[in-house]
Amino acid sequence: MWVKKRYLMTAGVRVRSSLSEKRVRTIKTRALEEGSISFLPDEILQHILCFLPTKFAIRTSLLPKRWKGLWCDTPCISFASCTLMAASRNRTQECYTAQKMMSLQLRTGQIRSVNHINVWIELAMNRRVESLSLELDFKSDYNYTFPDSFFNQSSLKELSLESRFKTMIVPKVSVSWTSLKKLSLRRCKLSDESLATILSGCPVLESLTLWFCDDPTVVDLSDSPSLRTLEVQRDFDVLTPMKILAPHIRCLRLDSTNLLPTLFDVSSLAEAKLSLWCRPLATDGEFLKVAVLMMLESLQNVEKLSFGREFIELFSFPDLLGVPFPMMKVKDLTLEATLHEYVIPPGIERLLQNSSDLKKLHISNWKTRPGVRRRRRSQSRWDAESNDVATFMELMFENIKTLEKMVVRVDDYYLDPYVP
Amino acid sequence: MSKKNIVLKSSNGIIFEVEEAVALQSETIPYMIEDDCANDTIPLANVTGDILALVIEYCKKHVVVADGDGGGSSSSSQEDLKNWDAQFMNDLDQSKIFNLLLAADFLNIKTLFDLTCQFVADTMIKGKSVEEVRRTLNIEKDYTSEEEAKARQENEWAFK
Repeated sequence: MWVKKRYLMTAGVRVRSSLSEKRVRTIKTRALEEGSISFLPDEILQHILCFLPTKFAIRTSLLPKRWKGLWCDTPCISFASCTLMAASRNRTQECYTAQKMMSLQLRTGQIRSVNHINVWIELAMNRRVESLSLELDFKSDYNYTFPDSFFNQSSLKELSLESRFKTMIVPKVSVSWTSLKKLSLRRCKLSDESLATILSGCPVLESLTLWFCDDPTVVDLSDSPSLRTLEVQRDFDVLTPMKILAPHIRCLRLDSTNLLPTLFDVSSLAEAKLSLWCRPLATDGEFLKVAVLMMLESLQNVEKLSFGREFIELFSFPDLLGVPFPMMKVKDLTLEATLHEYVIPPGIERLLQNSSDLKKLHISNWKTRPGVRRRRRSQSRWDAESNDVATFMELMFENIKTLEKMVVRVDDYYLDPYVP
Repeated sequence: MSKKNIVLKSSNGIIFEVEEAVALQSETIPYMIEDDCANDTIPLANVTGDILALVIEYCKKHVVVADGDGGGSSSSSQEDLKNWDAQFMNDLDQSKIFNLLLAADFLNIKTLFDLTCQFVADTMIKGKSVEEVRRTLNIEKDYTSEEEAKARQENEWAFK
């Protein structure tokens, strides 16, 4: 029996210190009997409100009377463009009484709402917010200035900034996000200097996402010892090469144009997923050759690798034919390859020949040639495609002795033989 | 190595035997095990058998199985789990959902608690007018018309 008591002493007290045990039990028993939402304790109701846009959380104050003040103490606030304006005009912030905020989400594109954004950001900062998500869709000629308090917040653990028209981020004061673990910047305009200032203020950062940012050329993470995950997606039209210095990262995801970022010192990297937006152009073969070989060399020690389709084509680029590839230590390789009948792209062949430790191979996109695909199925075609797969398998087994598992995902009708 | 099992007993006396990894998704159960009950039955006085069965079904689905390389579940299985969660919630009636919410809170299973709260928010409250929510949740209006008008006025914008 004392086990039950212990529960009430440990978990019970931790979860709902404000309610007496007796009341908790009464509420619970009644809920079990009646199966109605009204009998859930306030803490649970409030947690439900955390998953609602604030507009709907406020609406619940008109359900039973007991719910009236619930939203005012909900630690999560979420406004879209129109509700932000309306709420601020109604001075909704004045009845918001939560002492500690967990998250603030704001989305707006209206320049006249700037003051309202700042009111809520400052309010959230005062209440030691832990997660902040801002979607600022101001027109590109408008320069929004973040309140100074925004750059100086020791409680912040997650920050996501997104803008449709590339809002400029310029920290005019020094940055101090001493608890920030996850930073995501999407479609932001960001100079090398601004990025360096931001990174210098995030000593415990674990994950960084730069998604279509315009356009830092150096991402120096050598002073970010906790940083494990880096995700970079570069815009289609970027014309400057990018340098990435990241000795501590374990996991890299890179989506790029054929202007491959140069990876300097990714010595801790264990997992990488790389893809290109577009087919490489034959304009500068020598440049591509150097870029591809440098990239492969930096990835030599990576154990789990995934290459997108255009990347494979890059390996098979004429300028790279005959150039020796480095030996790879990859154990788990995923190729989003388009394999045509009987033809193994030379890039894939060489990559596999140089991956002598390979244990798992996933080929996720085995397709027939475009145009052929929609033709009516026939018995002879099925045979041809079966041969295709078989030829490939033979090549695999010849080259890789260590392989333990191979997964080849093919078009469905490979697995669905013709039935007359 | 043989897997250790844990025996749970619901409020109405139904016994469930589950693998330790399944049960340990609850942050409450370890406290009970610490109290030297490992070989004994753990009584869950606030959870009925039908709800405990649901909790266990969820925990069995979500138990992280190492794939032999030290890695956890892959991204495709994340997608599968999401679909499974959606189906799991969709199959429950309101009374089960609220009792599941209490059980997830009592047993301190954060992912199940969040999933259930999110489901209630999305399907029973979000996008609905006050009257619609009252109907959906079977809540009787206990405001007088004047009181309601006054309360609406305080945050008029939220009711438009």
